[in-house]
Amino acid sequence: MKSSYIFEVKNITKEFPGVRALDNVTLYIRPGEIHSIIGENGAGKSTLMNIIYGILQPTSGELFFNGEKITIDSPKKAQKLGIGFMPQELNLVPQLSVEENILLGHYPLRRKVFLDKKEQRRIVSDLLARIDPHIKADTIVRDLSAAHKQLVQLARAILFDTKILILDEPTSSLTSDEIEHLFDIIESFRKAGNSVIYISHKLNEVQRLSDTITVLRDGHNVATLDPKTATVEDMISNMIGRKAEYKNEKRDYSYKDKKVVLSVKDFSRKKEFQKINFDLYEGEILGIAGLVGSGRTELAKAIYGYTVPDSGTLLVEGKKTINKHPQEAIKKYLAYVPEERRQEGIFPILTVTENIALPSLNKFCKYQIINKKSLRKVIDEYISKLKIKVQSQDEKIAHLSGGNQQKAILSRWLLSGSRILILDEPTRGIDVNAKAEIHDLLRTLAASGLSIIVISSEMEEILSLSDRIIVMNEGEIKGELLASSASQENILKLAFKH
Amino acid sequence: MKKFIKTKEMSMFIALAILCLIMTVSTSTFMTPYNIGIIARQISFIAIVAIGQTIVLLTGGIDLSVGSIAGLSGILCSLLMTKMHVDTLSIIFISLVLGIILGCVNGILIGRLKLNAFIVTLAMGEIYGGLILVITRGYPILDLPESFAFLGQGMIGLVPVPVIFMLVITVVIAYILENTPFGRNIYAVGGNSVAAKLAGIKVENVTLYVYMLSGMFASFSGLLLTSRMNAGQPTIGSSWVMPSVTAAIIGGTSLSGGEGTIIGTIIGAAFMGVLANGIVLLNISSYWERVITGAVVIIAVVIDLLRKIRSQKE
Repeated sequence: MKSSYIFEVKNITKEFPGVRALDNVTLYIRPGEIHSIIGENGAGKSTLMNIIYGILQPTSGELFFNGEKITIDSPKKAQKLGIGFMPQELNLVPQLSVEENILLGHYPLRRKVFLDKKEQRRIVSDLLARIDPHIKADTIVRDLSAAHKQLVQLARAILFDTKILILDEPTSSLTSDEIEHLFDIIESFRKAGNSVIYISHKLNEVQRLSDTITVLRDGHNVATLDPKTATVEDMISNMIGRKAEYKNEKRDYSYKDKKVVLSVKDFSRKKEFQKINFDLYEGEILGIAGLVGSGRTELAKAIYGYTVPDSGTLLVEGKKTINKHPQEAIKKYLAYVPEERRQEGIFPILTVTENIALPSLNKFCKYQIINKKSLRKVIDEYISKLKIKVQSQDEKIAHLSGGNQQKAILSRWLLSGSRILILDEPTRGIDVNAKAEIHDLLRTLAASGLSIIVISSEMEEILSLSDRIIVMNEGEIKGELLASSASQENILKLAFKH
Repeated sequence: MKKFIKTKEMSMFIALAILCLIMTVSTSTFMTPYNIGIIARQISFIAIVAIGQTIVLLTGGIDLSVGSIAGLSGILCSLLMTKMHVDTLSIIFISLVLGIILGCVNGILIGRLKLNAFIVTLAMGEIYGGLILVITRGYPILDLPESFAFLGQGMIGLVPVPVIFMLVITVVIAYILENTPFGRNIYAVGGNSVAAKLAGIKVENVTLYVYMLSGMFASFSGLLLTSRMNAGQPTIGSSWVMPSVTAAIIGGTSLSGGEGTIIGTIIGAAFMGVLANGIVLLNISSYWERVITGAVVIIAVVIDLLRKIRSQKE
């Protein structure tokens, strides 16, 4: 029996240790349609795409291609079926030419051994003619613009006789002209009878482009919308659901009589963020909300001196300054806890003690020699105060759970005497209990007079922790809310604003 | 001390002890004060270079110019002594400063300009090595002052002077690495350089200092060997580069940085020294020495890998 769908995802469930990323998700793709999938960060979009493209295997559920039940156990199998994938993070080899990048791993051969250069050139020129005649096959990819790199990645995705093209956030780094060009390509691809699965945070584009919209929330599919009738507001309310609105006890918060401890003026850094202005008050928790890629991490790193902004000034406790190295920021009692804990936060092969004490070693020194006894005593105090679960101070931090690692990093900055903490996704990948403990700790610290900036993509975290919230999108501040007037809905509206 | 027993240094130390035991049983000449003195003196030159190499490896770098720095320093110091009659004490000081300067070039290129350590030190090694030949035209510099011979050939009691230098440097550097912020920052940079920068450590400065130290120790060791050979030989140090890395690796230093100790490196150097000595005493063709040393490195690395796998399972 021939199905009227080219691809069907039926009751797919995917479990990771401790989390159910997808729960009974179903998706039907018609031939010749653009099917958008939307949802908040962590709703399960990427997991679903990784299953369709054979990178992950579902825990249970079935996939059908042209009505036939199939298993996709590798990207190679997916390609064979005619599924092409353009990931959000490009994976091109910068040193190779456009032609080599497109054909990577699938070079046509003569007598099964030698590269068939003529055939290579023929395939690639055909593809490039369809996509963008301005791209030359022998250009080195490193020399291409961001938009052209993306188109090369697209060419690779449709190299095989691709019938289903998956696009993950394809427009996030494109200008509006480039977006139009991409849409033309997608449109002609569709007109040839092929299907597109389109993932994007840009809801206006989704509405304009799609034939069908599927909304995912917390690993469930919650709605299928028709873009002709559904508004952007409908999409947002489906994405956040009718969950109980978040209770925030800080209803009567006011910063009127408080001291400004940190003031960011006209901060700009090319391609990262533009004209950022905000103040941080003493004892305040300021949430920075926004979508992934909205420039929040880049802003934090520039305030902290890991990078240097192109223009703008910083006032710490009223003193005009600019941090050129984290060391300078630390001297002004700033601290930054990075989003990528494993890559940027911890020293995995060093002990818990060292991970906590590194920036503060000088405090324990006499004539440059560390007094290990007094250091160990203080570290013990932090371990018990923050309830860090360790066997001993000398345990390697890599052996600790994510929550305990994060507590150790917080101890690091409390020990160094920081007055202004910038926390980037402080509870990502941390279990529920440790998360609650960290939240409580942050509230206590703020109450004791520390000023805290929390960058988070988790709406609940932002809403339950912050006194005040600023929302960023595309490198700009789109709005500011007091916690008392903030809701998931108005934050998301600002986050999607252009 | 309790910590030490479980470490890889300890397992290497046990391997060294077993090797010595085998040698003692199978030859009558190994465990004699004379022979032990020879071994100790021989390893002290390479061990001093390997200490500098270890410090560099701890930051995740490598110094392939140590051999040429040793040679160039030996030659320049020989010239200063023969032509300008610089005395022994001053020449020690000059050789240390010279090594720091030569290493500083590496450190600036690697730390500030972020060039690749392998390439920079390989190329600087070629430059320094070439300069040796330009200066000497391949001839040794003879007629060094008699008092200078004490550095490399002298004994204090039963202990050769270079061994005393090695022991003092070992203790001082091991203490610095373990007990000062500078030492701990070296481990931090090698353990995770991004996290180190975010924790306020000036990574480029740490990088600069470790190459300066490595240059200093290479230069000093070159001076000791010059004294030992009683001549400024153009070939001094030319065979030290790989053994200095090998000693560190046998002693448990990780090439990716952040892991390793000076004690381990000394044990590694001693292991190689005893092995070379044993090959002579057992009348094995000395051509086998490199084969065996290579095999020891592979075995040491595999054992370390197995231990890591086991500790992950726990």
